[in-house]
Amino acid sequence: MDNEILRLEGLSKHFPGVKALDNISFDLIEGEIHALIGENGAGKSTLIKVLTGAYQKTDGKIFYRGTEVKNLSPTKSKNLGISAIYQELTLFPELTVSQNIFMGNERVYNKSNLVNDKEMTDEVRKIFKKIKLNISPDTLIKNLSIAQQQMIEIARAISLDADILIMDEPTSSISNKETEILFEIIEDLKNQGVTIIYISHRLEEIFEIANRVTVLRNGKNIKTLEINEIKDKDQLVNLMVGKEVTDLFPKKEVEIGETILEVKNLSYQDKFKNISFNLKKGEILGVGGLVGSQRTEVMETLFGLRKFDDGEIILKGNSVKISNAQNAIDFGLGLISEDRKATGIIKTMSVKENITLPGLDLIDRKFNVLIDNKAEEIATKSLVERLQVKTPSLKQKIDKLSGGNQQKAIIARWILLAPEILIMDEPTRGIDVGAKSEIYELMGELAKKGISIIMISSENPELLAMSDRIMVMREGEISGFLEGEKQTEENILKLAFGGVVN
Amino acid sequence: MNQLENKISFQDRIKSFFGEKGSAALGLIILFVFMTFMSDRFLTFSNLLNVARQASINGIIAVGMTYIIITKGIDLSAGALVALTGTVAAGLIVNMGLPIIVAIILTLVVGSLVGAFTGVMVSKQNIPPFIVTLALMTILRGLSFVYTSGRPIYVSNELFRVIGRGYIGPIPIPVIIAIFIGVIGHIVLKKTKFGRHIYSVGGNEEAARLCGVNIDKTLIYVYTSAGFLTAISGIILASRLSTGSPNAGDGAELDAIAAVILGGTSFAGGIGSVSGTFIGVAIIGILGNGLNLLNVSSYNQMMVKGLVILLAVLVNNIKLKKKNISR
Repeated sequence: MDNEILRLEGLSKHFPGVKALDNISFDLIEGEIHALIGENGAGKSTLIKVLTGAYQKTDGKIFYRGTEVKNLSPTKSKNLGISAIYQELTLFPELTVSQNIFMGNERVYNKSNLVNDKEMTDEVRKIFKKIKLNISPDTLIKNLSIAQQQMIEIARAISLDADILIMDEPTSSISNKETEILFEIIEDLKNQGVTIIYISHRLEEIFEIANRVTVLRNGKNIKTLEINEIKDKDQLVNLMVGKEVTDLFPKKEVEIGETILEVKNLSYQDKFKNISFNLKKGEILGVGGLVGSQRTEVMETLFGLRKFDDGEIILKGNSVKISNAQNAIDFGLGLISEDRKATGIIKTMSVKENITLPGLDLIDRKFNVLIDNKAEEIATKSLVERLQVKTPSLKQKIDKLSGGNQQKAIIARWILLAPEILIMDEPTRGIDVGAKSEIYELMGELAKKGISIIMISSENPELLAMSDRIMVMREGEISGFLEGEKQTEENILKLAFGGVVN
Repeated sequence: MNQLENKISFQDRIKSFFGEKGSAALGLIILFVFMTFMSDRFLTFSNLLNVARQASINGIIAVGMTYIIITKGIDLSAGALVALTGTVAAGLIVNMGLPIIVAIILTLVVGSLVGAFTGVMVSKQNIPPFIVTLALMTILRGLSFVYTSGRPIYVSNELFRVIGRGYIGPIPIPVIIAIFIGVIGHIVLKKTKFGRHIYSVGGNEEAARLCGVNIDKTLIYVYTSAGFLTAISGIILASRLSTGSPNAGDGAELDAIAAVILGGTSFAGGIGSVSGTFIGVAIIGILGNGLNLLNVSSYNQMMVKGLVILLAVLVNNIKLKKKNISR
């Protein structure tokens, strides 16, 4: 068992002004599943990039099976059998599944330049059989769900016969059921002798599959622990943040008011039907369900981004027609989308410009046309301070901030508009523990001010802690509401998987 | 906190200056100094005014082109629209006998309508701007030939000729118009809601849509303004030549696109500025003038211009790469 495959000694990676990795020592034993955890910015991604050759180390040594590896380049790393699955998908949407899996590694008719499609599709079928994936190799990637795409990434890594497989948050966008399948695959790979570095913000998963855990904080290796040395999640959380987090979910008690939104029998084609629910002033309505349960689609419909065939939306007693986002905003709605990068931030714009984009009408103008810079700065500055968005300046391009700070800036965008209803789709996805806690606190404050929140979430602890009521959806229908003592993880799962809660 | 903010925003300012249009400004300075040494006819008031007058037509088109390219679009029909609007203006004055001001207004309407049509095709019909304007390029050029039966329309009206040839004080009128449009174009882009929307559409269309930005309307306005500005150029050119020619403006769109690129506007969308574009316009203007002063043949000039554009983009790419690695 003690067959060391990779060892890092005193590894450092410096960027101008930042020590992204600071004297990291770390070893990997063949056939283990080694979890790597830490807050965003702790150095996990940098470490992976050094291992895959994308970054060159500043200092330190890397040993592969006892021999030192110098000048680790992407090609060299690939040849050593190191392969990574990144959090962000790197697939080609217009190509087929099998073309994607063999991208850069195409099978050809004996040394010619002609690709052997048949051999590749056969191979893909074999891999899919192994990982129980039921997708035709000829399907175009763009027609697959995000979760399915994630599985394709994994299949691609498997096709490369990797010895060391690095998985960066592989479950962040897939459902619980798919996660189970993924864990089975990981277990299989482990039994075949593949070594896995597993990165996740979901600590439950780590207890389920990892052999050892390494905690990084501020670019330093804080501790490597055997899984049976760890008492509970709190111990890991404390190692990560370096301070006691006693109250991860600080839910405030809020008085809940009148019903302000009623949705009646909303239906659209075969996507969703008979969606009826209501929302009260100051209430946080959690929305649970598996990926593909059409939760996001329903809420996007409410926000005017999608059409519907049938049903009614009643705001404060009046039936309203919301046909685009501007309408929705005018009616006092806000929406924070689940995919921050694709539909949240505008990365070419500054923090300030990102915050004020939907609320430009609220900023003073000179001669009624010219945006008053001062007024804009005052408005954003107070929000940035209140929400503790960590940015060197308001003029900083937003994509230079960490995920948590980007998310806080996006929330600031909507707070500026003083909405009555805020839809938050996976508000803490890909965000570190500290920032998460801040976002929860903020949600509590908003609710206290009388803002109603609809929170879609795939993280059950989050749903349970934050929601006054939980609505669970399954395959385009509402499978039930949970309130008070009925709010348990078990009940959410029952409803999500088609069970009944008594 | 405050101190830190000031310090970094100062750094940011330097960075953003050198990042987006710094190399263009540097290139312009080098070119300027080089020409001053190479030809004693270069650094004279009359020569520089001459350069400015020649560059003004490109400058006006390039303002609209900047907006379009920031939204990830392109306009290949600008040159053909210069011909169409020039001939229409001349035709309205000569053949229809309309008063100058009426002819000008109608011509501006024609330019705006063509732009609006492009905008509708791009936004509502979702046709890539490259294709829409490629088609329009031949349609509009053909239309100018049909309208004039292939013969240039000569305008003898003195008042009309003032627009392209007149001076206010020592400054040629086209230069004044171009500077005025440049300033307005800059303010609209940087200071108005419309300007913000232009950047947001180019930066991330989906995110902008979620923020309530009306994407279609923004695009239609962008192309309409570009059409309007191109019509102004068409009128100025016709006035300067005293002729509405169906051959006018050949390749004008390429000069405008080149100026926009030189000025640091990104083809990937969301980034760019009118001030950068004007630096690009100046580079192209001085380059043409300088090569003439140095007696470089027009065939060689074409190659030099192309090489300069390629070089500028290469320098920019190298800088971008450095920036990405250091991150």
